[in-house]
Amino acid sequence: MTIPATDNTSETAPSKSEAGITLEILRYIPGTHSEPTFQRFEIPYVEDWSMLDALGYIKDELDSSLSYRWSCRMAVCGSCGMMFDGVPKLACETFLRDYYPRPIRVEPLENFGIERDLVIDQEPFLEKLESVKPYIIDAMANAPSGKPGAPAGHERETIQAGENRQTPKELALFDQYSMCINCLLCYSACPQFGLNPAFLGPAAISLAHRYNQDNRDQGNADRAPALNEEDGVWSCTFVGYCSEVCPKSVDPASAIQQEKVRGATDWALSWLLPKGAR
Amino acid sequence: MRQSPYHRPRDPFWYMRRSVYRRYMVREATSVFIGLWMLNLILGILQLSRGEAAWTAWLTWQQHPLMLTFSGLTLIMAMVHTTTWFAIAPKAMPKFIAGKAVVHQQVVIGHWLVFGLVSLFLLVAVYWGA
Repeated sequence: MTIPATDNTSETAPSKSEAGITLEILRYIPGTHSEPTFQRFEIPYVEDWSMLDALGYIKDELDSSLSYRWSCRMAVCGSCGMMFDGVPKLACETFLRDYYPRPIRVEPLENFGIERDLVIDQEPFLEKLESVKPYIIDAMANAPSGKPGAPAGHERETIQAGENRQTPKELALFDQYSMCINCLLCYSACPQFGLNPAFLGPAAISLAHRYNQDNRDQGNADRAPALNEEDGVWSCTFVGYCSEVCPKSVDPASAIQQEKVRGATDWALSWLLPKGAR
Repeated sequence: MRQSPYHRPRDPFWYMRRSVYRRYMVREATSVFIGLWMLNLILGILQLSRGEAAWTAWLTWQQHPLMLTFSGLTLIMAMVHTTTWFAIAPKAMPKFIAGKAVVHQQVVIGHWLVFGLVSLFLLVAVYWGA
């Protein structure tokens, strides 16, 4: 898409003798714009500025109507995912110095609907996340005197049931996948999600895998329908770019392949074993 | 009332935009050659069932420069496919097998070892048989 950039150098912009850098930001304000257009901002170049600092400067000094999500400034909250020169990254850990002196193209995360400017519609992802039940199911079933199926809210009962211990090795089975911050960079990296928005996607499957691998959890069968359907793990064709862009080294591609193995094994066993033994 | 979000049109040539996508498409495209070569092999078996003349004709056709080029190209494509799949195979492995941590490099080496042994067995079997 080639859209002519509009110039928006305000009075507060630095003089030409100062080192500066150009940001071309995709703007879209519903009701005002019929389609997104790039707007050019000239800002001072400060070596230790992150993209989030640069966006903050634009919002404070040049154009207060610019919208973007952010919160923690330290790659923990997962709010500030966006595209820089076509690559999905977190704005808080992407720096001007890595692009200087070239202009930087800033766009909202690819493969999502745009709410306004750099803010994308997260609703479809949240529905998918909910469908894989990303929480420990029936945690006390394995406790020393646990009662399978006991309601989780029964605090006294769970305390009486004893500790639900986990060894470092059991933790190592899933801790990497629990690092996901739902930043959605992996969804922007995934061409299959771009082609088929119904695909469950890398982050939701990684989190499903995280709980499936947890020895305290009894919910594998509850997650299986969402994971094993056509738009579940089987829509992944192993492009692998999701794992490359992940800022927390979760490696969603590996989680998806392992869930494929689990799904195929369960399917094979369902033919081989009598109903009660599955 | 909340406005429905704006959806940008999808680039039909999305796979040209990044090297990682281009590499992925090459990996997928190699299977087309392997598929065509398998069709050729099935055709050979069919010709074998039709008698000696049909079988000899199929064998002669295999020695045509066009078919030799196609077979050579398929061999290269099969090697690209094998190398790229073996390289990502560790990702499909569990983190522990029989209580021991899975080392990614060992998985790749293991795949190549099995591949080499099976290829060697087949080569020996073919020459022994011939």
